[in-house]
Amino acid sequence: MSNDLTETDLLRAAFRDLHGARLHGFALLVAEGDRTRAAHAASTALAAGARRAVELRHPERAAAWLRRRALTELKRTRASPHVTPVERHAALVGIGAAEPAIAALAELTQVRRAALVAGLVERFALTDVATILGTDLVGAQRALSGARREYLTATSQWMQNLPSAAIPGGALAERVDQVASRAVGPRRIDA
Amino acid sequence: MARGKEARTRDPHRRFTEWLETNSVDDPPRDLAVHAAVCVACQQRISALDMLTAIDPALAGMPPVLPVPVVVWPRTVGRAAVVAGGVAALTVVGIGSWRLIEASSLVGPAVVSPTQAVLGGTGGPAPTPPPSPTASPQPSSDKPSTTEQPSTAQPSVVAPPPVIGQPTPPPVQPTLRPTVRPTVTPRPPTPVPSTPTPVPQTPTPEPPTPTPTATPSQ
Repeated sequence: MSNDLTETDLLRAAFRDLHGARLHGFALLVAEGDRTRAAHAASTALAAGARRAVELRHPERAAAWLRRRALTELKRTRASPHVTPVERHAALVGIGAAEPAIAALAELTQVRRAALVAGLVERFALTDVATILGTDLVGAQRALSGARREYLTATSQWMQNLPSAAIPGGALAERVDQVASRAVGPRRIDA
Repeated sequence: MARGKEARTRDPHRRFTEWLETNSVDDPPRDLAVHAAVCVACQQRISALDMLTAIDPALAGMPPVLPVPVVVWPRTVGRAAVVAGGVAALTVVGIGSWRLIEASSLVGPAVVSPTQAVLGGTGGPAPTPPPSPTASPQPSSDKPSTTEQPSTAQPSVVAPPPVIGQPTPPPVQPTLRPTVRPTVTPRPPTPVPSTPTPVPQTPTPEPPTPTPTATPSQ
């Protein structure tokens, strides 16, 4: 009996260690940097998930389940009145969010923000995004496309103000450059 | 149709934007990638999406661990349960006591019922007739007869019929015994002729005396 309890406790601890930090970051992004609200949502979801750690063996399914639970908790709670914009901004900068991204995320609805974070930041599969949003695949695809569109529209003004040298590169920029290089290279050779 | 296709072909900027909005997992088409490589606006859009991929949620750290929720009943619920249990116990005890009292009143002191008064004289053993030399020995019976047998052998000697309605004192034992069986209905006594019966002069032949048969042993 004691061995079973110990094994269960170990499993729960491992579950928390595996999912806790990223789940907290997800909640922090969806909650727009509200640390109190994000911590409460993540802790609640994590406690519920730890109780079902035996069932939630698959890491990605468990992660999607946890985010859905956290999103439900975030929908249920209101923003903390004592958190200042400076604190919110600092919380988001602390996990690597740039200024244009912070401003654009603030213009999205909570569900769209969750879809964008799950699909682009955490790169969940579409089925997991559907699980997180509580919709089917078509609904998840629609929510994701709408979130991207709104995000790109919101960031366009910020990005136009940035000088070209200040535009950071990333994984997507590298991929596009590689495809372009493959496409232009033969032409250059032909030329 | 051809014009639309041509317009879309001419506008790689719009097509690349649509690709960004719908799918950034797969590689873009080559012509769009070439366009994006030289288009500042498209590079800004690419950079905006890359800002999202640069975020590392794990940097948020572990959330505070909530204790495992333990179901704690409120005090009012506990008190209500105690009160309900007490009321239930009192009810059970009360009903049990009442039924015990009711049962003891039925079994307890004997009450002389009117039935016993009416049938008091009939429940006992029949009075033994006076011994007569002509009386034939009756077969022994263990069970006392509750009915009076009119003696036809000596019509001159007639016992007075019991008067129903007045308790007749039993001759031997008091009838206030619980062995009285009220279901036994006494036979009506033989009506006594009002006129005296003339006694014949000739002696009455005696009936043959029954010989007691020996009971075979074993």
